[in-house]
Amino acid sequence: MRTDREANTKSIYDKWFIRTVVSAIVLVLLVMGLNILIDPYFHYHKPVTKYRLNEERYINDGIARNFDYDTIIIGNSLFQNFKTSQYDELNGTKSIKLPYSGAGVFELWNALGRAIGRNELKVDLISYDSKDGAKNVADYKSETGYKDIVKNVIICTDIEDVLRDYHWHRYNDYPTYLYDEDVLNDVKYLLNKDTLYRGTVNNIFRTVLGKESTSFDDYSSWVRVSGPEAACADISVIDPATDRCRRKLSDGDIEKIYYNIHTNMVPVIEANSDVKFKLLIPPASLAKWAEHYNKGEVDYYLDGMEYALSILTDYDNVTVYGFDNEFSITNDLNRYCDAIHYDADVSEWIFEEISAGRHEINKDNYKDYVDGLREYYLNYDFTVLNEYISD
Amino acid sequence: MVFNSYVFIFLMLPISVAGYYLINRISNMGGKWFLLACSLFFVGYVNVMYLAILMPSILINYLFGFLINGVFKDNNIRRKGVTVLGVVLNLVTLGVFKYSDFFIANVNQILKKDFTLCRLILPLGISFYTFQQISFLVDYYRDNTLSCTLLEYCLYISFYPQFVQGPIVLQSEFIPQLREEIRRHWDSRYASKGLYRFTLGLAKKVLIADTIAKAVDGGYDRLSEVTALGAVALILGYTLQIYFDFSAYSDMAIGLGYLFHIDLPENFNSPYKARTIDEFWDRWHITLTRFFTRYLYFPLGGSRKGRVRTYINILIVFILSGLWHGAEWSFVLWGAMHGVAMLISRLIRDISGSGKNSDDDSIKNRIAFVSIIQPCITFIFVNVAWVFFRADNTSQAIDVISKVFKGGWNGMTEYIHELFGKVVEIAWLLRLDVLNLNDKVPGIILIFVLIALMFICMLTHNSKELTDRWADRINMMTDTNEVGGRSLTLLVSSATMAVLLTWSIVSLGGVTSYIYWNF
Repeated sequence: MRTDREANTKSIYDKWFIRTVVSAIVLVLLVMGLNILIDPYFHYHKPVTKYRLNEERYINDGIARNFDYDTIIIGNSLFQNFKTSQYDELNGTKSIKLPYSGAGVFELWNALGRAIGRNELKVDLISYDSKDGAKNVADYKSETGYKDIVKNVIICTDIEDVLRDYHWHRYNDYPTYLYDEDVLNDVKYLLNKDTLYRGTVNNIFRTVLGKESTSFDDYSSWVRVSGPEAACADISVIDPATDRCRRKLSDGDIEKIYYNIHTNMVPVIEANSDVKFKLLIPPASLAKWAEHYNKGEVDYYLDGMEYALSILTDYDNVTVYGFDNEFSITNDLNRYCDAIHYDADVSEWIFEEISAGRHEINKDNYKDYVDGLREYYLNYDFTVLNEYISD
Repeated sequence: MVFNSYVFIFLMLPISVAGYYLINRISNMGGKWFLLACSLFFVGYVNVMYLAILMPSILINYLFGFLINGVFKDNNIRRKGVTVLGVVLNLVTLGVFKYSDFFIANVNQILKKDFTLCRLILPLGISFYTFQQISFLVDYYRDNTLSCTLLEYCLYISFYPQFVQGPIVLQSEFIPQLREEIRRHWDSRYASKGLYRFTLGLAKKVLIADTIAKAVDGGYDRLSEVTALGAVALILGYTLQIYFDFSAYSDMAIGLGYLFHIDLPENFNSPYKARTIDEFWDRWHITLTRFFTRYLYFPLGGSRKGRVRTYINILIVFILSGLWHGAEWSFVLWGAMHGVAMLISRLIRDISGSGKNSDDDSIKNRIAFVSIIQPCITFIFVNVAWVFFRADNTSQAIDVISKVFKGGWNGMTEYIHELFGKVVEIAWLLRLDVLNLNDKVPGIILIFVLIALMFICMLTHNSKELTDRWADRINMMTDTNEVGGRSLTLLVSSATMAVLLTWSIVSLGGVTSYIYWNF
């Protein structure tokens, strides 16, 4: 009798255990399957539903992997208001925007290198599939007229970042499982409630409700309160007695800049000689220059810029554009929501300028460009900003 | 390796459980060796150096045990000498790896010197296995009939469910179970209880503790911005986080033990239900309290050597307990605070216990105090003490507490509630906020969640009770003839746990928000 009861109990537990484990396995597979199907970060395929562009560091790699484009617009928050539609209209390109908030040289050029590399890979795969057998990349490019291959890159080149250590990056926890080709670590993407809820489920609802996908124009774009007070919010009161040139560019600083450029930028530039790199130095506001003034770093900054430009203007496939000398913009603090972030109108103007070939810095004029800034900011009376600076 | 990881749940757990029982069918010895191999893999997965430190330690302690109850079995003086030597060796090992830099830093500060820090790796689980090995040696000394094989001892120390964070198991609890024939075979009753308990633990860890941690860590990272309400949230939040985190680990450990047909001792018993600080320590990290009581408090004389000596013994135990938790003065201070609270509690008890002239009113007043005020004081004290445990240093702890009084009651710290609001489940909750309360008082959702969790801790059943009640219901079904109702209950129960398990698994990862505050 007791044995029967025990056997009965065991059988109930058996059922419960098996049901629970099997149900959990089925649910896990369902979640994985749904995430693969919708693939909200485009890790495996092109979008199959309407989609939301968000979570830059998760989604950008997928955009670079699976979207069709010939131009990459890549930068930090200073690039978030750029409109791909405007650039495409002015230049006849098909561009994608890859914004990385807070990114420096290391992160941006790594992401760029991956993106361009993937396109080369795409070419390789296509050529291997062709009936003529394996063809090299150059043959394919000439035959297809470079279709779907990166031709242009517009990349943010914030001089402040160029002056930093080559490995400088703001965060420590990047979703590298999305950046590599390792299938096993994709479990972090496929069994992820944020991916499921904010990506997959959101995309399904967006499609069902007939909402449009996020455009690249809107992707990560922002509107913030601008004005002199906002632009000067993080600046200390300007002391007219400050020595604005306290810090000089040392040999160590020069080495740091050289190493940063040659470790992060040059390998990508040299490996892609058929790609035109447009390096864009964004217009920092007067408030930012006041910050350099307060730190006594005006000379250091300008010398660093000059040295960086001397290297970057060496490459045939690189064009540098600088906007720091457009004082009508940089002095108009109504266009800035902090010391460096300009509004969408300025973004639009920048694209007009580079599309028209203006503001180009080359081997012949880079010293003049820096000297112009030096002349202006070494003599500028920054105390005029004090009325906007709170103690 | 940690329990709340994909590699553990999808590979380590199923392979080790299935492999153990399959090999046990062929050879019990093989099963034990396999379990040992799994445990060592678990330990060495992150850093193989952990094994290089663990294995010699195990072998040396086993040798000491062999000397105590083997070679010197009939020579009590030598047995005692070897035991003392063994205990000292274990403490020195722990001291070298865990406290050498703490010691050097203090010497540097006091003597104004600049001795280089050792920066040794802290071996995984060393605090726990050191105590377990000490308990082994002392128990061997106290009972000369104890014995075990090297394989049994290796398993006792390295058994992976309890290796990293306990419970601190006694040999008398573990080794006899390894020898029971019945425990070598798969038993779905045990396994189901194990799965149930493990799932509850995993959910507590990843759904509750990690969610609160986002707000708490965010607050501590930007303490200068914390308001009074934010400080309250930080303090209460950490009190809940550490409970849900640590007790979750114990739940998972005990659940995994069940999956191997091994009973591990309970480590938590709803500690925030405690009415006094004594009771708190009877309910919090029970196996640690037991260790300190048996192997330190009693040998110091316990309460047998007079009132003053008892108080001193209590203080010693708690200060060392604080130091055991971490090589920082803030941990020592945390331990000392609990020690002093225990003293005050004892003093009140001693004084009130000696009063002979209590009338009815005073008894009533005392009952009111005991039943209402005392638990509140205990809970508030525990909260405050946890601040010292969590803070990077004493001044930061004081800063957090002072913010409750000086932080300004102008709503929740924006950074904290933004971080908290990004958690998927909290986003769902916010969708239910039809009255827009969270907009009217930003961050109030966090306070609601914390209060709800506090009441869950104080008023509802804990994981052990939930598991036992569930098992009781299943057991009772055996006697029920109503097949339909039984099937439905089983179905609902297994579906609930499957959903909870899946939900927890998909919560292991997440999307990190890269909040660059300028942009």
